[in-house]
Amino acid sequence: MTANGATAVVTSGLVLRGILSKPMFGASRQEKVLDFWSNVAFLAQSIIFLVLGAGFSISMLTSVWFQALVVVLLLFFVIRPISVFLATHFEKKLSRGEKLFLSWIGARGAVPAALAASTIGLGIAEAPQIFNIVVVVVLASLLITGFTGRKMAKATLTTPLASKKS
Amino acid sequence: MEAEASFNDATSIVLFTIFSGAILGAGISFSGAIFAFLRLFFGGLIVGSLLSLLAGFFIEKFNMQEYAVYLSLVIFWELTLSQSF
Repeated sequence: MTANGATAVVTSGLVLRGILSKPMFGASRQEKVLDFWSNVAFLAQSIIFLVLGAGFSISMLTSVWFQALVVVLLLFFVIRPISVFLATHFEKKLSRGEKLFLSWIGARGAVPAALAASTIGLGIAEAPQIFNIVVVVVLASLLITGFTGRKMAKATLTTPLASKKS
Repeated sequence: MEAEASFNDATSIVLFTIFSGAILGAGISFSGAIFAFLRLFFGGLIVGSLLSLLAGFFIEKFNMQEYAVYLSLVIFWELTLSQSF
């Protein structure tokens, strides 16, 4: 075991995207490839959330609400801001407001939920509790970023992030 | 930002692989976990880069621009099925 498949897939996607942006490919062909993979990503995320939704119940919310609340608070106000500010410490193009915005909108995801679900199959004793906490945290982060993202953007951003080149 | 999100997911999968292996197996030392992380993460970077650069070379050399979608699909399938190398 010397390389991880997920990292390899992400890297190859980024490198291929760079190759496909060469003029010889043309905008339409590049768009075709990107459209295809956008649809695959949408389908994969839909499947993950459909499967998770099928196993979701209100009792999951009530049984782990305190642990999930602690994780959500830590994630939004401690872990994510620290990691974003550390990772972008030498990035002069990003303002303090933009870093705050990145900290706020980053926590979410189908992958953490899928990984938590896979702990059940591994036979770990605390797996159901871990799964419940992760599902509630993912749900909470989606709702929080969904409902407050626009307000946060207005409060922290002076220029749209998309207009900046990384 | 898309790249950041993708690498976050990849990193979490690498960490999950290491820690679940440690919990279910014989355990792992701190230095062992760091070494395993570097090996898996940078190994993935190297394998992914090499494979896609090779695909890019073939696309340009044999004018396979029309088949870029299929080639990217083959690369994804190969890397996903392999999971580890």
